[in-house]
Amino acid sequence: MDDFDILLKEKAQKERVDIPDSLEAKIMQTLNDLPQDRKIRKRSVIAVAVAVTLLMLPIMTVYSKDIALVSSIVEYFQGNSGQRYSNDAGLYEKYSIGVSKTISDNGVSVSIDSIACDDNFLVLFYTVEGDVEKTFKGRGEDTFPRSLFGQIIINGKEKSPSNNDSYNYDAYLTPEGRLKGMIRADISRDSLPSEFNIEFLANEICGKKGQWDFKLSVSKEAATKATKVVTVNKEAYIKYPTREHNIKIEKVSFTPFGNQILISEKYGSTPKGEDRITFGDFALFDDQGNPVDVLPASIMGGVESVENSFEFIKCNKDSRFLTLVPVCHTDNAPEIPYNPAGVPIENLPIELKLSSQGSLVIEKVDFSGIDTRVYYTKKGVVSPITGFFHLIDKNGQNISAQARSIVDREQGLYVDILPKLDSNEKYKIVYYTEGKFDLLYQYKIDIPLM
Amino acid sequence: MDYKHEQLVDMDVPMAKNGDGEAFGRLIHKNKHSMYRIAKSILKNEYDAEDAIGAAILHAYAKIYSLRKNENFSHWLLKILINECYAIIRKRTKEIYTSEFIAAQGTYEDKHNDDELTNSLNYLEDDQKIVVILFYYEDMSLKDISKTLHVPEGTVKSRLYRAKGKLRDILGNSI
Repeated sequence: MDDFDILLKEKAQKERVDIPDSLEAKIMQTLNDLPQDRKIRKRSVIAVAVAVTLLMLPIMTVYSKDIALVSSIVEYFQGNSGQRYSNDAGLYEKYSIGVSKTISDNGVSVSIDSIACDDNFLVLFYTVEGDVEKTFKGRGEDTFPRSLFGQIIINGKEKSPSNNDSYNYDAYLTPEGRLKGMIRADISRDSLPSEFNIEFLANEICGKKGQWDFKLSVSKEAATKATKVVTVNKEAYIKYPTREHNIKIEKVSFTPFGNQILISEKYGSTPKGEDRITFGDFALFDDQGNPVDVLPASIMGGVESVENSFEFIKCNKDSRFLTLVPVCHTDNAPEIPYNPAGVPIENLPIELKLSSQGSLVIEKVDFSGIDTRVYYTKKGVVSPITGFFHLIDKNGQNISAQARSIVDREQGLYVDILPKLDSNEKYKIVYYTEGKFDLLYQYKIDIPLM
Repeated sequence: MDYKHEQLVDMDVPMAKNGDGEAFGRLIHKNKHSMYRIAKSILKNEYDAEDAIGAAILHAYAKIYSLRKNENFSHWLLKILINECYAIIRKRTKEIYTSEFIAAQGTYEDKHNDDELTNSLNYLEDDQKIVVILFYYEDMSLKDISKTLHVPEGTVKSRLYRAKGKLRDILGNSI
């Protein structure tokens, strides 16, 4: 704890949040409804009841004729070039099937415009129109619409849960007030034939209840030619100073929409339940010893075992093997000082040293009439996160607060998209270095890919 | 917070463990602001935050007998709440037991928006935001945050460190 920590803690204790009346009412109602006998599993009963109700509901699906809409994906990405997967637009277009199925209920129309699929990801592009509360307030002047959420059933079975679904919702509002979005579902755990059927079931859209249930046919055949899936099944034991992991490298998949490594873990007898830490900190290297970037991912926990998949870039399917090296964060103290003064954006590229192991390289800054784009790469071993830097103007003001980060998987580039800026101004980059970490080479795992 | 109130709350935990619903209610009311701040931060909207808090109250009531240390009630309750938040996200996505979640980018906002630290949370990445809330607002230790979010302590430290850097920039001139 330093002085700044103490100041922030004092500040936090003084700031209080006001509870909305509706929440006060909800708390009172919940407390009033508490079961007298604590053994009554009220929630479970409700959950089961809901599940049964869902099963018994007739699926009111509209089976419209498939109409090829080749341009719907292009249209989606052209509508907002800052979308998270905009750099992959061409690939989605290449491996997609036009669908154009619309279901209307309760004043809201949902259209599935296109589906794209490979061995790792199933991607649905959709449009929502009608009377819904579509937005919630975002940073600054921007608005970030709510995404469409739904259940995905594949060949009659619920899609396997994945830690890597949670980053994969993206949407925006068109000037006409339509919600356009995409859902990128991780299907790497589902063993699927080339062609299969899916159901997409939604019963709430942007706060409005209804039933929008789609039955669709999907093919991943086109993407199969550009795909390499290696079943690895390699077990490993890793010991950290305060914990240990028994993991298994299940699978490595190189696919057009994103490469993934699937890692399972069996928990030991201690610690139990919520005290467990799931393995997820590691660096990857290709067969030339070059670092491979791991992309940000959620991490799932489980009861006795769990599977997590991690996307990576800068390695193609020709690599003969991958090497996984566990990372151990040892201290929050930076090895290299944080740079609050800022580095002038001149003479690009600029290398920003984040630790003794890795750097960010600012490759290019593009000032256009629409926005400003900062292109950078990671060099060496760098944590799978974004937000290492921001731009400041001549007054020291942070002008990156509204930046969105996207990844160019094909080029191995990251792009931060900022609002339109004056290209004649002198800007500086302020960046945060990493805390100390060690690469545990004694536990490295070679993963054959041939 | 005055001493008497703290003593009263301390007594409420064992009473609630013995099935005293009123004592349990008092504990919930004491923690409701923290619960709302966290639920809103993770879920981004009122409806889901209210659902998560309702579910966490039921869960906590059903499980309070298993609370080992009475003095840990607040952190235990918040841990349950965070899991309920993730459960709501799972309902959306049909995931199980997600330990971290970055939803569609959204803003932490509340009705009391003159508070500059609260407002500055909007400039943080979601993974940093939750760590800041647990560390500065809820006074959780790095170890407890690590257990609550199921991520290594080093990761928590690293996120907190980066968040601090940003907060120093944002708040530097005003505190």
